[in-house]
Amino acid sequence: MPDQAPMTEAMYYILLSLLKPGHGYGMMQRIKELSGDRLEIGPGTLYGVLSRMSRDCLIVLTGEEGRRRNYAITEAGRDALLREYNRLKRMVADGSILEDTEK
Amino acid sequence: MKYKYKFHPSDYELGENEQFYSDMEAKGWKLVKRGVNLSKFTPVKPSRARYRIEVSSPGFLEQAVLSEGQLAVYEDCGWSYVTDRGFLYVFRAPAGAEAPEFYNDPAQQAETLKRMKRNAVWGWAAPVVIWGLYFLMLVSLQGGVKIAADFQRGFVEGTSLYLLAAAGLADGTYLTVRNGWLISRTYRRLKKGVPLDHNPQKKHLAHKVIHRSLLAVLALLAALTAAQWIAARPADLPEEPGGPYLLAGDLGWEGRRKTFMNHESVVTHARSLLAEFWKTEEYLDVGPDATFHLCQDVYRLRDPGMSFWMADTLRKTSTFGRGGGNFSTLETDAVDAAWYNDLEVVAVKGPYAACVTITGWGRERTEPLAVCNALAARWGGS
Repeated sequence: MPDQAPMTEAMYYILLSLLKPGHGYGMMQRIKELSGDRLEIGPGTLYGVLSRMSRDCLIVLTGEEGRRRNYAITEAGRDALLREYNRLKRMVADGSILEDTEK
Repeated sequence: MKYKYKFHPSDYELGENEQFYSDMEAKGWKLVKRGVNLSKFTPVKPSRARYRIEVSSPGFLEQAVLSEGQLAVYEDCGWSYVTDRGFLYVFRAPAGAEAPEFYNDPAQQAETLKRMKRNAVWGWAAPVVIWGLYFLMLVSLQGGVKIAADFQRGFVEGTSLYLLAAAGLADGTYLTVRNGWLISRTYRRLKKGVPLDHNPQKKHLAHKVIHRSLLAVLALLAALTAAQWIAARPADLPEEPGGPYLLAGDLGWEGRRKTFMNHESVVTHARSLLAEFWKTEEYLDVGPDATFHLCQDVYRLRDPGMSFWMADTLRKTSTFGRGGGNFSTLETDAVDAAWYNDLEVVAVKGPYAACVTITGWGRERTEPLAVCNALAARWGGS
């Protein structure tokens, strides 16, 4: 499998929030909750990332409630998220030497 | 309902537009609708509000619209959609509302400007290319000399119209260059990670002076052009000449005026910035099965030094002159210079230049010398 380009923070959290399908505003709330209020995604950023990930088949439109559109993560999206998670985990593990040098 | 209309900043000044609408609401005028150059406001109690502009970035031949889904996300976040025009969508949030900024990442916002950036260049380049092709087609069909002469003659007759077109072109070019520069600068800054300035303090005074001066010149020239167009209505040709043109009687022809192929005997008198001119058509029955047609273009140029140049232009644009090559020089002291062919005489004297065309059938030819003598008599000792 080819190397995957690192995800932006917004992409990572949007995919993470879509582990539970939802609409745009719901995703924003969930991202805020997941990041402990650290990250607030703007609607422009959110919509741009959703369009791109939809084109890349990482997410899929599942339906509409009035004007709201509901999205869900796809298998490809789940794989990409997992690979990014493992990459970040390795990076954190690699960085653990910092803790040794701090002591 | 009392509305107010105000000129808004150009589409390419995003932060300036946001600031402009916030300032208007602080003064008690809330945005209702954005037009091409003007925005419409309704009176409200003065209040602080944030305005933000989202740019739609459709693909080639796609409509510049934000989807319902996108609008729903913005509204869920506390931004109310107000109006849109072209690529710009205007949203509003009252002060104190916890509506988040549209973008966390300026580089991502830069992507939304790509289409506007392309339009800033091609919006102007496309018409220039089309007009260029049209011009080349005319040159290939009619020849460059004829087109240049038509242009010169048009410039003398409609100076203000030509200047109006030139000023419009200058203003359009200036705005295109400026808009292209503005949007490219914003794009570069966003790409570098510098967020959009939502409260720009720059007043753009130089731009205001240049653009408003050009608009004032355009308005003045448009008024002049309209006044000239209104004044230049054809009138019945009088029995006695009301200007430095000839009547058939001046050339010794008598007869009853008639309608020829729905054309009446008329004179059109007009003024431009370079000349005062008369165009006449006269149709006479001069005997059994004989007609006499006299058509003239007579110019009194404000600068007498231009009259020979005008005569040259008249020869090149005359109906039967074949681009000027079908004229012979006429030896006469009556006028400063004269040229003729079978049906036309071009003469020049002092500030006057004229092209006289005589057609018809069933009658004797009018000698070019007689035309020159009659013109000289009409033009006097100028």
